[in-house]
Amino acid sequence: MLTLDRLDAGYGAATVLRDCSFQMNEGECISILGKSGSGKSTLLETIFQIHKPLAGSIIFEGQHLEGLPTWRLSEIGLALVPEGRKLFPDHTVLENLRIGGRRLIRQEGERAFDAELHRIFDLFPFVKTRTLERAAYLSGGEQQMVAIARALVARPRLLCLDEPTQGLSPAAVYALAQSLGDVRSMGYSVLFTEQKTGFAAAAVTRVVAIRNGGLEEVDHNGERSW
Amino acid sequence: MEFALQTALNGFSTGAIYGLIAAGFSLTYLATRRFNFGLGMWVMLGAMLSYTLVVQIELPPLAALPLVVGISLVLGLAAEHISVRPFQSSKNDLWIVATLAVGLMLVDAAQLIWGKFPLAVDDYLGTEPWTVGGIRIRTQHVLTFTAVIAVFLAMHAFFRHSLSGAEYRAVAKDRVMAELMGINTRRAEQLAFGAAAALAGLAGFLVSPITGAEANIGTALGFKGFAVAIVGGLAAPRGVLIVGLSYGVLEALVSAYLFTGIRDILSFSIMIISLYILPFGIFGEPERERR
Amino acid sequence: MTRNIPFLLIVIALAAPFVLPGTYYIYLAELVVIYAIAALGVRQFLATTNQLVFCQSAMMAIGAYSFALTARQFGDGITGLFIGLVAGLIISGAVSMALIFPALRLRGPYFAMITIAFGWIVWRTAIEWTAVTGGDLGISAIPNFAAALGLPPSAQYVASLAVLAAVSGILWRIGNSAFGVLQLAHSVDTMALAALGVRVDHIRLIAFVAGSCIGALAGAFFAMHQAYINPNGFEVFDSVSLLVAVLIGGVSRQVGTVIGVIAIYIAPEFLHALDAYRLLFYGALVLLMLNFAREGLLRDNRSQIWRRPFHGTGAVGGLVSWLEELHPGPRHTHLKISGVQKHFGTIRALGGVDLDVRAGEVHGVVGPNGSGKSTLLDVASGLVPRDGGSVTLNDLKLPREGVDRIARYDMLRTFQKIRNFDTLTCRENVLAGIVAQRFRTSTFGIFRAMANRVATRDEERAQAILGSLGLAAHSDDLAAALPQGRRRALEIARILAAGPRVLLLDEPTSGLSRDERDEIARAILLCRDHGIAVILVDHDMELIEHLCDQVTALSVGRVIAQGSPQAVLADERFKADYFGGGERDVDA
Repeated sequence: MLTLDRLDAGYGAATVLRDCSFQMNEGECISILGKSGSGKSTLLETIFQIHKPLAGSIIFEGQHLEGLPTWRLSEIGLALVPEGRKLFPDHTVLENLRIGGRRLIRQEGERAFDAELHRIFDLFPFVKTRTLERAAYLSGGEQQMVAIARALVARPRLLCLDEPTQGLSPAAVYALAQSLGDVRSMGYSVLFTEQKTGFAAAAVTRVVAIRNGGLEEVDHNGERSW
Repeated sequence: MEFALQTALNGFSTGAIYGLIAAGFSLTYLATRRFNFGLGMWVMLGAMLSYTLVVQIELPPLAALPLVVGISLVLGLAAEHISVRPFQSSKNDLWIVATLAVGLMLVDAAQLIWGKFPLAVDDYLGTEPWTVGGIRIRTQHVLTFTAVIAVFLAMHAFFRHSLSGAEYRAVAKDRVMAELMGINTRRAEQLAFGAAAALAGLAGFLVSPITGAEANIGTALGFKGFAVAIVGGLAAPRGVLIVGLSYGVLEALVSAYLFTGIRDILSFSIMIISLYILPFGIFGEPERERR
Repeated sequence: MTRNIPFLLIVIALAAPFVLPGTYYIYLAELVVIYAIAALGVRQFLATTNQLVFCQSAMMAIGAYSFALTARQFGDGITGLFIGLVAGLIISGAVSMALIFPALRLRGPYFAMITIAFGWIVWRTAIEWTAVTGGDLGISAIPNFAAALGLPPSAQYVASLAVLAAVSGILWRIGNSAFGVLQLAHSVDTMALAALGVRVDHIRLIAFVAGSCIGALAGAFFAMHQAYINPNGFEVFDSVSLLVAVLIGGVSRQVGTVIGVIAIYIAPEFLHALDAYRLLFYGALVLLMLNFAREGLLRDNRSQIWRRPFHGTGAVGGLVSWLEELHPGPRHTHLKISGVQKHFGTIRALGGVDLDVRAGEVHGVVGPNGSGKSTLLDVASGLVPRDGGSVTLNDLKLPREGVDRIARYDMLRTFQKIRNFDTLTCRENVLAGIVAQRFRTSTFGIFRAMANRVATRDEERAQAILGSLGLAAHSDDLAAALPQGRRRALEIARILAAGPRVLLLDEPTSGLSRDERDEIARAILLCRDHGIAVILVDHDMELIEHLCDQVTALSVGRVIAQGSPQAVLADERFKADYFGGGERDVDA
């Protein structure tokens, strides 16, 4: 589904990742572990063409991503929930969700969007009650749920998350792990980065670690030998 | 007293125009973090086109309006392509000179096509002023004020209640996130610039009977519109209407009771001073680092 | 040799009128000279600040009207003329200072708008203030040097040539001085220069006032040239023309500006029959902008010092001897951070942090993303104002904000994203640090820097410091051409050249290979051994353990552990926070 081929990634004057190669198949749930500053965000941001790859290629379902503008990626089925959730703070929850479902609304109409929205409400019941609130007023954990909901409304093929547990209380982390499990059971392929081992361990199929600027497969619940 | 009221009412209509131009500056700024430094000249273009369509070709104003706005939109999109797009990713100020130069080109082209003398356009609703509560007021002033309010209401509805409006606000707030959502920010920039030109064209259409159609009316209008945008807060379009109207009334009163020549000098001095103390405007918020 | 051809061509062009028949060519040439003077003022501001001004013709107007009004009050002799010139300079100086002083922090479009609006105000005032300026009718019968001395008109031309030569010469001399390095650095990265303690606001102010006074001087000579002035010729279009002349010629050399002026002001003489001339002019201008679009106007701007060949003798010592020279003997630096707080809106970034570091110590700061490490450095260095607490250096309370102000206390920092002066050579980068250190202490340091050439010893010193950090081979390369892994070393070399007592390092080794990291580590140890107090923020635990004497661990803006590296790294709370407990059972 997703292939990284000898990818060099970085921005500004620094090359953060060198010669990374990696393959992900449909239906998997991959956890990418890395400590602070190791390049987790850079990796995802490069996949999503926010930074241009310095070398190598990224192939998603047979299509090269290099050179594509970021906004084209959601069309081909990629969704990213970036670090810090990044909901549009002054938009209401519903507006955020509608922006997430924009292609659905435009191509298939409001009814199709409503149907998809209700599927998402089943997954995240509390979101239904908060639709008219401005996104900035939600707690961190709630924002995270909405951000994932927003990404799912677009019916992506691959859902990516960058450090989803950052800034969340332990309770919120627990709830999030549950939700990710539910998302997985609905059939979505997921890729996320994290600093802390053990998050959503039951849902994860493979673990990859970023070490010294490169990627290494590690065993499930990868040992903390950094 | 009557005179003061009459002056103030006239000021409302000029103020509404300033607000409209300021909205144009705001719109462009929100999407592109740049301005069209020549926007005032685009107002002039609208005025000249109105003259040709309404006076020379004798179209009814209602028919001329969509043409003026449409032509301004198309030309605006073209201008964006050469004076904003190439500079989007660069870190220097050259786009200032580019947009200014395009504006100055419009002025010179206007002088070549329409000559250097002011051309008169009649009030669209008839040259007989209306009398309301004992005060005589030109129909064009009423029309202008009403039209601008209608436009602002429409813009409010668009931004607050439509999906495209929500997308536009998203681009203004967090460009990268908007792109991750699949929004073509490049096209949003183009449309913002074109829309600003269209708004300016509309302003020109409304204002031509009042100022006359002449190549040089754009400069002062543009600066004042910019001043209103700055004071009103670039990130808050609704503030600009209030500030614009206040500016218009203030200016009209000053002009009537004080020496006329000082009016524009005072306006620009206020703008400079407001840039010193209020870099974010009265209604705006401090600009956060755009990702 | 070919580099001198443009200069020769200009000399020929300006000398030609003396041999050509009639007064027409002298008239034309004098006009060119006058506009060249004004354009040099614009160029000088652009070369210093990388910003555009649109009000030079307004400054010319101020100079012209001031001259016209005062000169005639003092009789027909030369004294009156000089008083007129002085009046123009004083008034334009005062006005420009009043204009820019509140606008020092305004950048780009806002600053440009102020200059456009100001230009428009001056033009409008000239029209409306009929009592003083004569309005549209203007002022006539303006005296000039030639008439006052009873000489032919060519004497006036000689006078204006003399002024052009003088202005050009002074600007050239300044570009060649120690200040020239600072000037170029200012145009490339003002923040990095401020981080060296240089008063960048002063530079900007001086550049604007100087440029405006030069414009006023040109305006006075314009008045003498025409013998009659009115508001025409002092409009926005004229300011734009001057700007275009500078841009066409290229900012890198003054010669280019003069050629640009010749092109802009001679062309109309042959094209004025063309109605559409101005239209074409603006169209060409847009194309010109497109040409410069990506890299900007200053891409070819090089320091004049760079053009001088450098022959290092290797006689001067490197980093070690430089540090000895700056601060001989034992040091007693003590930096005390107490209860420092910082909020960003409702987010608490720092909630009361205490930290001590002394001379010869390396104090590490660690913590996960969002713990406040970088904010701590930003607050301590004045990049961001603190909301509570204090920072004292040897019992002196440091200001709440102002990167350059705090840098003048000899507390310097590096940035997370490496900042170098990309279009200066490596040696010039380090030289900027040395020059900053020499001239930043007093308010008049800028003028002292203008008066002094760069000492050969300082250039040698810069070369030697590069050697201490393994960069000697790259000393003549532009900083932008350095391989990525060496850029941090250059940044540190420059900071050290500026003589810090306290060094704040923000993730200095991120993105570096093992060898490059070891080199930085060696440099840090060198600093420690010579009594510099170091605060090191990093993620690399190996490095922290190796280098630090003390470590502070932050979490969500508070200190959760403080002590020796071993103690902190073994602390349970730190481990839980930073690495995440692997034992947490998420599926229960």
